[in-house]
Amino acid sequence: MKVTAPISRIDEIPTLAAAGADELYCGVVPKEWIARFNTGAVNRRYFGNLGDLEELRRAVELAHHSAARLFMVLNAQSYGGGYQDALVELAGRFRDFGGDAVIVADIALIAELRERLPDLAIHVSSVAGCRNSAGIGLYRELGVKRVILPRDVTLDEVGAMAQAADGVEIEAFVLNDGCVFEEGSCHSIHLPAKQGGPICVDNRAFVYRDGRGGQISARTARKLRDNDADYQRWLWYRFGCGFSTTAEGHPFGPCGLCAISRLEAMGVASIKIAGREGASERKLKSVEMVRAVVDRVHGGSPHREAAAFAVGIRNTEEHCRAGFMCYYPEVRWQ
Amino acid sequence: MPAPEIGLAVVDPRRLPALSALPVLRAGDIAEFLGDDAALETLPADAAASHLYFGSEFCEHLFPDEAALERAIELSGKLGLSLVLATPAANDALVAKIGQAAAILPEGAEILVNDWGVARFLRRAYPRLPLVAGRQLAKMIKDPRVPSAAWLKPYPGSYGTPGHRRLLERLGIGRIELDVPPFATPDLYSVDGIDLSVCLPYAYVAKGRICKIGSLRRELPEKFAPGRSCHRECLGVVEVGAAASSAGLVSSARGNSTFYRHDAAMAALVRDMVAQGRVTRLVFSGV
Repeated sequence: MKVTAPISRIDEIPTLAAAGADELYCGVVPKEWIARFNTGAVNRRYFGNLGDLEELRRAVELAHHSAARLFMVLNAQSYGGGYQDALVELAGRFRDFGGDAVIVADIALIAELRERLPDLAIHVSSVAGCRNSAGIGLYRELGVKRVILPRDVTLDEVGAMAQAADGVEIEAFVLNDGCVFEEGSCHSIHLPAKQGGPICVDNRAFVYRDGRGGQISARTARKLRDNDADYQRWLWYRFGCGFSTTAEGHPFGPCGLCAISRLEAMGVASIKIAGREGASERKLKSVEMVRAVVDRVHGGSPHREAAAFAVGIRNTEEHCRAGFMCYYPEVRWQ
Repeated sequence: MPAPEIGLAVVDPRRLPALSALPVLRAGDIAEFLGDDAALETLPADAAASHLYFGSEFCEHLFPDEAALERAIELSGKLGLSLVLATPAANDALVAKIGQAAAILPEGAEILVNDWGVARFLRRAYPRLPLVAGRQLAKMIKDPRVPSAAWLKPYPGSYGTPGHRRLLERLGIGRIELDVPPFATPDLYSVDGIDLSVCLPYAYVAKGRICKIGSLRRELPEKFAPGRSCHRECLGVVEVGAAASSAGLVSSARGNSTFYRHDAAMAALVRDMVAQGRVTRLVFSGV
């Protein structure tokens, strides 16, 4: 099982590789792209990208020198027809630099890349929202190497898809990504704060009404208010416990450390640390945590022991007990 | 203007009996069913509906059980409507249920798919069934808060590329359905060689699997987790937005989806697209 981590600067590459990342992924927004299209929307993130093709070339070189593989994200939900040639050209440059795979969400772009760059490996982004074995079968037919599962899946679902993958590698989330809106479903956009910010912070003002627009009963209203309070607490966990860390710098937030042993047993090929836009220290501490658990698992620790070790890393069992910080809360329930 | 096909979308099986006394389903009946005269004001009151949509595009927990589906099949037959079974993104267990449902659909029924995997499964297992690509597969920015059209430019609608059309052909999908997002322009509805439906009078943005109200009756540790069943609380409670966005749209929410009503410009665009023959089916739903 590989540990896959994000980078946004090339100086992060040797550090994260030395800490235990086997695979790294990055985005790039070449100056030529901005000049041509007047937008930095090469992938799903405006920020946290390498700045030009020379940086991308050096990133591939540095990753390989550090015994890691480097993937490039082209992971917008969809691109218009005007971008297709430029995307294939960019992917071709990455391949020529020695890049190891592109991470793509747009199913039409996947087909286009397979046809025009047949020797470049393609990973299906979690943004594609592939949630079943039939979907994996479709992507297999399109010639992809790996499918990154969406964030909100259960371990049983991961297991079923891994079993049916038939040669397609499966990657699953393990740390840090916590939007309320699932990327494969979401059709919203991160606006500047004064215009509402990300819609996923869910801070819209509303009143509850029954299905026909009428008043709801006081009893139901009370239950809804209590549920809203629980939801606000869950949101706090979902957004990284206020993006806080332990005293040692280990980040809080969505986490699947205690499930690593089970994911390994299911045949999951890699586990993903999210957060290209995060600080370098956050990425480093994330890799350290994940690597520590993976090494335990590879060393033969049984499920329960590996899970207990994972829970102990941050030494904040109350967060684990809450269940709201978990990608795979069923580990705790079992 | 060319007469479009008219569909009525029903998610809650408890609402089906309200249609059972009708001999046929006309535009006026749909307006009454929805309690929304304005939604169908552009159609003649005696225009006849052609399709009954049943099921949810957005939530795995609202997929109808066999008994409800049989009632919808019976009702659509009685009203002379073609049934369209709406399906959401699905895990393997739901794909299997969709397969069981597909097996009992009558001749002429269609399946609305919102998951490429579901489309592939149905095309292989039930090649006779016409498939319609749903709104969740039509990637575009539908955020009700976008302040201007400039925000939509980097990520235009996904069906503008030859690659998508090849994919639709590969999966045997002959019709696609689209929402009308803020600042939509006619080019969004210029998709050659395929039939086009538009859903109205609301546009939807689905969140995903985590549903706040779906956790209402769950104990704390099991709230807000994927794959947990719910009591379909969303069918009885709506979050009605209290303020308009800078674009003037008021967004509300039901279950895992946010929605907003088309404004005058969006409604006018739909009329134009129908008049030009680009949109050949209108699918009406309530909140």
